Amino acid sequence: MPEKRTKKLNWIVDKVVDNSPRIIGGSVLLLLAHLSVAGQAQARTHDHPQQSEFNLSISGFGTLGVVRSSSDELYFHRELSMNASDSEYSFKPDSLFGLQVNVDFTESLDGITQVVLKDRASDTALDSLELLFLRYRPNRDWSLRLGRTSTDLYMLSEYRNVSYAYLWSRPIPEFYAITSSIAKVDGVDVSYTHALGGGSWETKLAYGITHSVLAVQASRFEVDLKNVLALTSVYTLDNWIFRLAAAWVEVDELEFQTNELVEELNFVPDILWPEAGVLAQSIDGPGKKLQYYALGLQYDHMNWIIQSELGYINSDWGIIQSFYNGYLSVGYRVDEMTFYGVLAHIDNSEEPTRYVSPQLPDHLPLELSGGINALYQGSVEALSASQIEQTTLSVGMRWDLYPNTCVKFQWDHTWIDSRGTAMWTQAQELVGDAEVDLLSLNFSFIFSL
Amino acid sequence: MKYWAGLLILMLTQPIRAEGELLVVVSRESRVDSLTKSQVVDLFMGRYVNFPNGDKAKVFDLAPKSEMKGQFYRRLVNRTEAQIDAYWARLLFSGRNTPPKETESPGQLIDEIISSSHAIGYISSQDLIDSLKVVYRFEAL
Repeated sequence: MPEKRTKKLNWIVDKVVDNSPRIIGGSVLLLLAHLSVAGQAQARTHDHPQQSEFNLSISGFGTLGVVRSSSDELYFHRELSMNASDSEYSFKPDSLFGLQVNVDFTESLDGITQVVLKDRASDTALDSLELLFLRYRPNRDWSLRLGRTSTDLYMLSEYRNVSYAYLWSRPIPEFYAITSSIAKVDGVDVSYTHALGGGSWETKLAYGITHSVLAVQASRFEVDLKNVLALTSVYTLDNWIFRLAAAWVEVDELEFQTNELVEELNFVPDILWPEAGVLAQSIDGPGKKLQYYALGLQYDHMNWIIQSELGYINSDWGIIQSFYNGYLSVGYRVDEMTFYGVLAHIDNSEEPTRYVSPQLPDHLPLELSGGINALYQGSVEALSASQIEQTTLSVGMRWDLYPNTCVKFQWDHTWIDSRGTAMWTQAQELVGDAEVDLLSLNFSFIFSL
Repeated sequence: MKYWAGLLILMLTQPIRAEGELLVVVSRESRVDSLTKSQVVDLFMGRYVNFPNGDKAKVFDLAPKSEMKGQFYRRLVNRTEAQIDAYWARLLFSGRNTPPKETESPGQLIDEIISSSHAIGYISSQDLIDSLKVVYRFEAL
């Protein structure tokens, strides 16, 4: 295992070096150049010698939560990068603990490290590192970050682990669970903020690679994405937030049971089954491209907090069909309590590609024809395994009972199409559509040391 | 009659006067002379970490649940303390910005502001002293 970890670490370092030597070289040069400028600047501002720019602060957050699930057919994942819980009552989906260290090196250079412990599908320690970046802010409008950051695609992307920071028991699964494979990115980003029409407009461009381990139907789906390019634009005006985001990614490597299927399909002679090669090509991961698009809106004024997001993911990868998703959340505050209701939906916008079954010659040995037919069946299953279609209605209450702590109570009712269960781990074959109730009670907190 | 009316007005306005006016202040040494309300919002809500002139800002706040803190955020952005805390949790743990430094009392807050030309905070007009400079004044209610 340690050998594997070292390999992975080396691999990541290699990737970073392979992919963006000029970017990193440039950034390091910039930082060095800045450090010397900062040194001079400090010399100039020595009339306030008591102000040391170096500052270190430690803070953290956590949730202790229990979820009761009504189903013993479908096991719940809070997100696909976490394990599904197979018991009626479980602390695992929502409980987590995070620790963050902020370090200011100079007036314009700082760094942040954040580690989050939760029931991850991955057993690699490095995957618990949610943030690790150096940031250079040459002036009040520009910011450049180098390292591991959150992919800022959706409204909660940057704080999806911090339950205290949002209204619900967890980020809406229809929106956030399925996209956890690009939750964090290793690379660089640059953002520009400026005042516009009484509000503030921020635009951010990020580039890098991602590595993620997902728990898919009781097995591990380990995928590396490269050339991840994400563009986010957010306009904040008084009580309103408008945002739009898009990301383009390319599959670099995949470790999953479909790899064997692809290998075997490639062994089938063209004369026997001409479509085998096409199927292999469609199932195989490397080189496949996905595009993410998202719109978000929030209105927060007096007693009302209303939020909605719409997303579309376009995929040319045979085993993941394009889908769209969205939710609408309406909350009403009464003193320290906020009552809310959420309606969320996710559905594929296309069916898996259909391939005709192999037309094999009669004289073929039974073993060979049986093998080819099994490959066909396996391929059909692989192509449809990620189908998704479900709707959830949630109602809940958040109670800010004491500064920096809150209690949440939520009930979710989900209608799941029999052919669209990809967000759940299926314990047994579903007969018809399913409905699942989740009840959850969470205690969340933040702290500073 | 006029006398009585005057006394009545005085009595009615008395509680407001006793609370004092809310002022946003910096050190006398600061290069910042005045701010608009939206510039004050930018700093206290962490949209910017620098003053409009480019100087780095160190924002100071009062302890949780103090009456003046509640009043300040209500008047600045019309938000409750719980909303402000959740807002800062978003900024802090998304790695965007660190919340204002909390001080135990108005006295300690004033000490912090005096000792740094980059500091900014809010006080009641009763606590205004020569070593502080008012950069924003909330309009009377």
